[in-house]
Amino acid sequence: MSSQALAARPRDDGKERTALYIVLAAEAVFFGTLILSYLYLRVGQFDWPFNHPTLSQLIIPALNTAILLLSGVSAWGSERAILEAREGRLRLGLLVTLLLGLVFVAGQVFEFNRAGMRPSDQAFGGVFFALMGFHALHVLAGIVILAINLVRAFAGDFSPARHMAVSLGSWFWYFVVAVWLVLFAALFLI
Amino acid sequence: MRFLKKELSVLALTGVLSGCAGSPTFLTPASPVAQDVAWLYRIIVYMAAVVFVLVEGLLIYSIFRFRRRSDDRVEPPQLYGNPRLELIWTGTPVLLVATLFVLTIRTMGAVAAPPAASTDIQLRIIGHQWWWEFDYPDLGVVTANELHLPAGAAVHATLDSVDVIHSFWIPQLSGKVDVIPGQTNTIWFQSDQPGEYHGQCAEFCGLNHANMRIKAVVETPAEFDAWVSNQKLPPPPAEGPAEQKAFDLITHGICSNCHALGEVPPPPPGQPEKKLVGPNLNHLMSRSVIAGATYELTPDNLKRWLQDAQRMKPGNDMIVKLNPDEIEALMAYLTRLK
Amino acid sequence: MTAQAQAQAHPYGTASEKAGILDWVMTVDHKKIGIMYMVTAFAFFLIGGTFALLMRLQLAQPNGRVLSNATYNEIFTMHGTTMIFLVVMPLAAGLGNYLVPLMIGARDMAFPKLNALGYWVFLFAGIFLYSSFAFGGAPDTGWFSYAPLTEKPFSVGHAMDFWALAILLLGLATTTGSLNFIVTILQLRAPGMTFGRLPVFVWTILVTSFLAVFALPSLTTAGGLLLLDRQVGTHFFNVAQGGSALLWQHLFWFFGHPEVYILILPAMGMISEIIPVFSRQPIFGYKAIVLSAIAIGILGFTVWAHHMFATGMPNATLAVFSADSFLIGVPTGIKIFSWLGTMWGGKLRFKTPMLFAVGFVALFLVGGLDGVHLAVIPVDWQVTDSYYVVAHIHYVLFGGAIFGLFGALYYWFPKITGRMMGEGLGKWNFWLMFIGMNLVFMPMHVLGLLGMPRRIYTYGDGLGWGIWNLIETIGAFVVALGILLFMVNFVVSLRKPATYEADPWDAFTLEWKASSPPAAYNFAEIPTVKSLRPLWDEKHPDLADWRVRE
Repeated sequence: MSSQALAARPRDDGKERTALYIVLAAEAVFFGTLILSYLYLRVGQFDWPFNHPTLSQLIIPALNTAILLLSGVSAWGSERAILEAREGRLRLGLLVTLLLGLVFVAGQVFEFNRAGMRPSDQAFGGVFFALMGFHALHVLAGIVILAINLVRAFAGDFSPARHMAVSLGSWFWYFVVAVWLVLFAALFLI
Repeated sequence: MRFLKKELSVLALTGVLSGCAGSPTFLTPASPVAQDVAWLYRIIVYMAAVVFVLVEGLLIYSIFRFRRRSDDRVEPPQLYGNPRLELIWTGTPVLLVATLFVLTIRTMGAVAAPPAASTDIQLRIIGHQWWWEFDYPDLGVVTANELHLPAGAAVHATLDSVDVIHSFWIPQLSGKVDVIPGQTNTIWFQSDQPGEYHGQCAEFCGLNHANMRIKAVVETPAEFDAWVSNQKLPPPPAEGPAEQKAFDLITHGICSNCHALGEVPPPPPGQPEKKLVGPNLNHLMSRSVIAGATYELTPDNLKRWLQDAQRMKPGNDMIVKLNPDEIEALMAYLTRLK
Repeated sequence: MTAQAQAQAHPYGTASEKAGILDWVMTVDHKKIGIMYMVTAFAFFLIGGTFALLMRLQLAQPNGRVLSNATYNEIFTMHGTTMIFLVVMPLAAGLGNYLVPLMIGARDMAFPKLNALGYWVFLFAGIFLYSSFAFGGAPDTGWFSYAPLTEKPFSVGHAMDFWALAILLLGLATTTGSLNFIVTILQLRAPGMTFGRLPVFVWTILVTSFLAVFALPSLTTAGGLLLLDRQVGTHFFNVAQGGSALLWQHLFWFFGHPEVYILILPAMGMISEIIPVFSRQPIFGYKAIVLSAIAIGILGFTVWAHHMFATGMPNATLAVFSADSFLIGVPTGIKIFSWLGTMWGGKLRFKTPMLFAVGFVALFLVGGLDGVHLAVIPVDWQVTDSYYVVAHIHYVLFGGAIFGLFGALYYWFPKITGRMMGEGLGKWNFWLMFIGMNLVFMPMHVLGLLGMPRRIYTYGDGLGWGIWNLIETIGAFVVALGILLFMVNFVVSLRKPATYEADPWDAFTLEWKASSPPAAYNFAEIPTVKSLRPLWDEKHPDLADWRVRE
């Protein structure tokens, strides 16, 4: 069967969607326990850096947050694009999301080093390292998914009726963005 | 009257365990705390026994009553459920556990604070891998493994660990409280009966968790005061070259890496307090136990300990190799530390 | 080819181009994967059981000299870790894998390849964990590995790294397996199989899978942070640098308590299938038994700190956890009444599966009752961390989960292999295990009450503990003999000629409609069901369940 014909057959993705929701639920509990561990350690520690973050301390994390939010928009755009059979837009959306994700990860690494933190700096060093690190790993996983989708998009695998991988990849991306918003608030704003 | 009832009921339970005189059990309590808990235990065990007999009884009954005759192939009338029965057998357990909860809270409250007592003793209990340090800050006494208390006094103790999590448990005196690095827990107990009570560390803490035992000696106030007076005495001066050699070893030589003798001098300014992994050696021979209270402290055992501590308590922190001369010298001096 | 003929030609289900071992290595058939899980888990069971016998030999007398303290600590740690992660969970997963698609009228699990991956990760993780013996020593800090004992400098060497990594891998296997079960049960049920007609065993697998999805991540966090502490130098559990020892306990037990329901619920499901068949009755109070499983699942997340009553948390906090712990006793208890109610008024056949199922009820009741005692905080302050707890956990895990699993193995053996296990040997197996287990674990209540703490490699004389320990050691060997008989029975039965009877027990649920063993595709035609007991309906149309007004 030709690639276009394959692409035109509707696909029941109920199983995969449920599977993704379950994975996201598990991941939510994972990040939840990480955040709660951080809060548990922070309570009662009065010399916690970032107790009263200055603007200069916040600027890069805030910028990074904006970049990630933008990538969420482009991910949403790519899903819309394939629903409307606009394959060019799909590929652009995937590429932009992927690139913004890479910039985000680079930004995280840069910020961690610029702040002069090491994982072994008391409890807070480990907390920042672990929370930002595990999140960054998930962003990288999302980037891998986006990259695979991008390759498949170039091969014409997707159609309005068949684009489960794009949808699932987008949902995973939205999750990663949402987790960052929570992390950002928990680490930098409270 | 209530006191008598408690005693009688606890006695009944311990009748079962009568072969175990000398067992460290809260069912032969030696303190009001342990007594309250023993009483509560009696109640819940009787409740459990009733449920047990009822349910197992029904089970055994039904096994016999409803056994299928071997040739019987007719299916019985199909019973899918009985909402009223199910309601009863859901509601009843709810009532039972609610009762238990109320009893729990009441007893928790009862054992929370010590009753007014004739004396209060402040104690600092410090858990080490693998021995217990007992400091009496108000009395200026520091000892190890063997805890002395006057009968009738309320003991308020703090619990600290210098390494991993331990748990302080002398069943006949009170329930256990974990000893957790980074937090100071508290425990109180009181014993009205002189006697010796056994306890052990109750949280796995490594190689010699089993060998981290406690001997609690509850004595008359007069005996306790005598013990305190003795413990406050500084170590005797060395007499003769052998004892001098020992004294040097202990205070400046290899022993001083882990042990102190008598009062510990404060560290020089700016230096942290020296962490000593071994017990204070002053009044060593006044204790009846050694090595985390796993051996009786006899001269023979002391000598064996000096010769090969690893054999007596494998993996413990006493890893020094002493030569026979040093051991002779140490024996001469240490046996004077009464 | 008829399903029967197919079964005879290919006893383990697949007519496959690949021969022998390659077929098994590459299979994605849920039945083969289920068998692999069960066989591997049973092998670990024998190892873990041997460790138990070694411990019992060491403890039989005061000041025992059978094992050094170092070896004992490795053995009790590996015994617990093995039994929980490498035996009970995979045995249930294996049986679930085999049976769930058959019971719901599906052809396979939702994600067959993922299913296979889960098994191989589990096998690798188990071997990886055990390889620690060869690389400087096995983990030796207990199956719940409290920090900071597990941190450097208290645990030097690599044992804890092996433990943490193995735990992470096992978490992955469990999560993918749970995911598979949930999607399968939600999406692949036969026509007519509403949730109200789902076999109780399938319900328990569903609830267990949800428990796993929500609980395992907490363990992943704990293990991950421990590895970070040990390898990267962070300080989550190092107190001196701002970490917290208690944080480990919260993270661990938030997983650890749901974990015990993960361990027991499938076995409860199994006996909920066995007891009705051997009582010739439907399960009494189906709705209640399902709702109580769900209630246990939800409440299971609210009680974790009852493992921490002695840690010095405020009494008000403890009271909340005590209340919840009492509460969870209710749905657990009413299941016992359901099983009793099923037997009541029935016609009971005491074949081996039923013996184990009834044994479960009798023994689990003891474990439940002493568990309730542990919720009584002041009593817990005395008996926690003592042999009283060891008694409790073994009544529920051995008397409960293991007995349920053994009953299930006897029950579904004919479905898997096309022949029956011997009844004579089965009865001996049961009675030796039943009597032996009571000899081992009932005296542990006494020992706990007499002040014997857990996890001690030896104890002094004069404490009154020796006689009870000796009885327990004897009991352990009685149990071992029973298990040996099981293995003999298994081997002997496999050598008998197969009878290929599809429904040898005159049972009720869909898996007995497939051939024994089932064809690769399970059912030639996916059946439509009208009730909880489709086969009962077929065999007794005048007494069919769907006739009963619901």
